[in-house]
Amino acid sequence: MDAALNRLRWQCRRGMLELDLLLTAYFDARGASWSLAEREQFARLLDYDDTELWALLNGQTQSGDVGEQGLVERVRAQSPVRGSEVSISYPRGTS
Amino acid sequence: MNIPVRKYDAVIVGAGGAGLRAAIQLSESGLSTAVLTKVFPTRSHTVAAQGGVAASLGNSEEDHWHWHMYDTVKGSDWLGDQDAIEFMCRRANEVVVELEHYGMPFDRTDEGKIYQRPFGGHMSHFGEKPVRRSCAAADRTGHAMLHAMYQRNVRANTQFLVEWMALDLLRDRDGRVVGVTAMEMESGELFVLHAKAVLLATGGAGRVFYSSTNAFINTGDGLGMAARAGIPLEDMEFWQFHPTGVAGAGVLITEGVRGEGGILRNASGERFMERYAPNAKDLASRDVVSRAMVTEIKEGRGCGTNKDYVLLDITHLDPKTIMMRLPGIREISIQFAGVDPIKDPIPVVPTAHYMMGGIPTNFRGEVVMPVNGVDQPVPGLYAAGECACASVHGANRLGTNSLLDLLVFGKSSGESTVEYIRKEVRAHPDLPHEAIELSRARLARLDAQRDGARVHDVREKLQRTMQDHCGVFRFADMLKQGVSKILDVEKDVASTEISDKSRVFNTARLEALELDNLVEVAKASLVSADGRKESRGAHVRDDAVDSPQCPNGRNDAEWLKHSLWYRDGNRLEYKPVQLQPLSVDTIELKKRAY
Ligand SMILES: Cc1cc2nc3c(=O)[nH]c(=O)nc-3n(C[C@H](O)[C@H](O)[C@H](O)COP(=O)(O)OP(=O)(O)OC[C@H]3O[C@@H](n4cnc5c(N)ncnc54)[C@H](O)[C@@H]3O)c2cc1C
Repeated sequence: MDAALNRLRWQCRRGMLELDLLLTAYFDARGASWSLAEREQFARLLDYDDTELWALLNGQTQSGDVGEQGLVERVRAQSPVRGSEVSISYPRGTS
Repeated sequence: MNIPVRKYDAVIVGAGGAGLRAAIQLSESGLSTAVLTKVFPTRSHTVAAQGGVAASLGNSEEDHWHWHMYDTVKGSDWLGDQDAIEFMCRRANEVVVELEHYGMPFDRTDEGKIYQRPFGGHMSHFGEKPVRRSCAAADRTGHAMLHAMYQRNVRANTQFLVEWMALDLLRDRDGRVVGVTAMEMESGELFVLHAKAVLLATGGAGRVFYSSTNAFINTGDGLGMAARAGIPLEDMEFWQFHPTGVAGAGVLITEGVRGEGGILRNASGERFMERYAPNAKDLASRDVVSRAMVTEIKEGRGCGTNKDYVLLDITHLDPKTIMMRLPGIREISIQFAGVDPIKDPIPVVPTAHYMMGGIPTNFRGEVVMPVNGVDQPVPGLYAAGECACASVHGANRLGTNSLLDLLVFGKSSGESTVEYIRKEVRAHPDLPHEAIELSRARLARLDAQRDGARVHDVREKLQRTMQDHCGVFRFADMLKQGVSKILDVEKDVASTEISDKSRVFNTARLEALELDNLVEVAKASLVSADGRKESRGAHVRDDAVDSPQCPNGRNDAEWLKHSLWYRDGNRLEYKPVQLQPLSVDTIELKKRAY
């Protein structure tokens, strides 16, 4: 990956797990094929504070910018775990 | 190779609540202070805290620090040090009011005082009845705290090194800490940050578990740095599990959902909490609910193909109530569990949430380690926040006491650092070159590694080991196996390979370096958990029987002591719990019941 894309990948790391999961899943699925404009738009989204970004991504608020709201919707649609089989193991079935 | 050196009076690693609070103390006293952080300060994990910060202000009803102290000691299952607990509870009002002066937008009462709300475990009159003690700024307490303190630091000229990762402590032959090595992500270059003192505030390490409520950055870096520098880690067997993390993703579903009427059900739809806590039912304390859930799963009454989760049901609530009072939860459930809770129950499991153990400190925030059986400060090293163990949370943390811990011990560790720099160090001590070499060698190894293990695979193996062997319920043989598995994982960690060797913001390299820290935390946790043959606080050992001498399997005669794990030799030592508070009488041992 090139340096600019690498930087965006790191900046998907946030203070809230919800954001880590959503942003990383979206980045991993799409990042490599972005145009320059798409990268810049994603970078601007990452500039939001965690609480604002979470409000956008959980649908509590809407961005006034149509293009940005479109990106928000795409991130929301790329849900990281939706439909996948839950698998957490615990020790033993008995005792 | 020439490694660039930068000089400061003090270096703080971490810009969450604890690091920012400590930095205010240092910068405002005129010392040149650098604060390193992996992410922008206000994106530190403290931002996730919503519940509030505890202080017995007594704004809504009568309250007293002594009652708060009692609740904290009891919450800790008597493993907390009573001197540190008294110190924290007594200083709570002062630090909360200071925060208000820094511009923290606390919720207000009609008279304009800080509004306080109830929270599990907060009681008045020594455990008699619930009291409103939590101070909050809507559901953005942590966020508001970070902003207020970040601004204050900017005003005080704190120098932030943002997107820098500290790698190792520089500790000289005399045991003094004189700086850190760190990598600037933007250039990928290694630096030496030379300082008169270092303060660690790197936060928690929840990412050692497969399922955790913690953000990805919580990899216990400060603990790894301390362990590699020969400093023991304290009480690492104690992890708090939040009962309702979304199965698989770990995202936290707040207690508020059960407050609104949410019910936990097993595979046959039974409201099982009625059997475990007939009065409080689904609203019983965190550890009681977590234990009940794991018992259901382990006895085969879990849900899903693998019978490995239970359900949190709110389908009986009016959809309007859900939309109005719990909108965020509906969204979380749709996003991270793939179910709409209006129609279907949410799959949940007890999920690793908070690390009670950490780098051993006293209430002054000095890192201490025993020398001939007596705790002595490690010169030049301080720690505060979730990475530190003061120890105020003992075997189980009381809700909202963590944010308080950040403020109180952030401040006291800052004060101690200022005093040390002013009184004990005239000039920067010489740099220990062998310590610098350690970091250089770690990076060189990673660059040169061939046919090694993939970071992602090794990390997952580590997380699965902790998840399966070091959860709420613990079994002697499973712990033994866990210890041997983690020693295998350690071998893989030593040979991780990254395919992307680029310099700038190389996440793969950063994650490999984080894994070096995660493995120290995991070893410390498993070895300490294997060592402790009793149940206490957040965890239950299957072989610790409940008897009048050992209520709930807690064995004070043998185990009322702190564990200290040393990396060197992978061995344990123990030290006594400080039962003597600073000014009041000891809170005597009792069975912990709510
Ligand atoms: C979902 C959730 C909700 C919570 N709610 C509450 C609550 O309501 N009340 C409460 O009291 N507690 C709560 N807690 C616990 C509390 O939020 C944390 O214990 C606390 O915020 C930790 O703060 P800290 O300052 O120690 O670390 P953090 O805020 O995690 O900050 C750590 C800092 O260290 C930096 N760092 C780490 N490693 C390195 C490195 N190698 N180099 C450079 N920088 C580094 C990071 O970038 C970051 O700036 C909650 C926890 C979770 C998970």
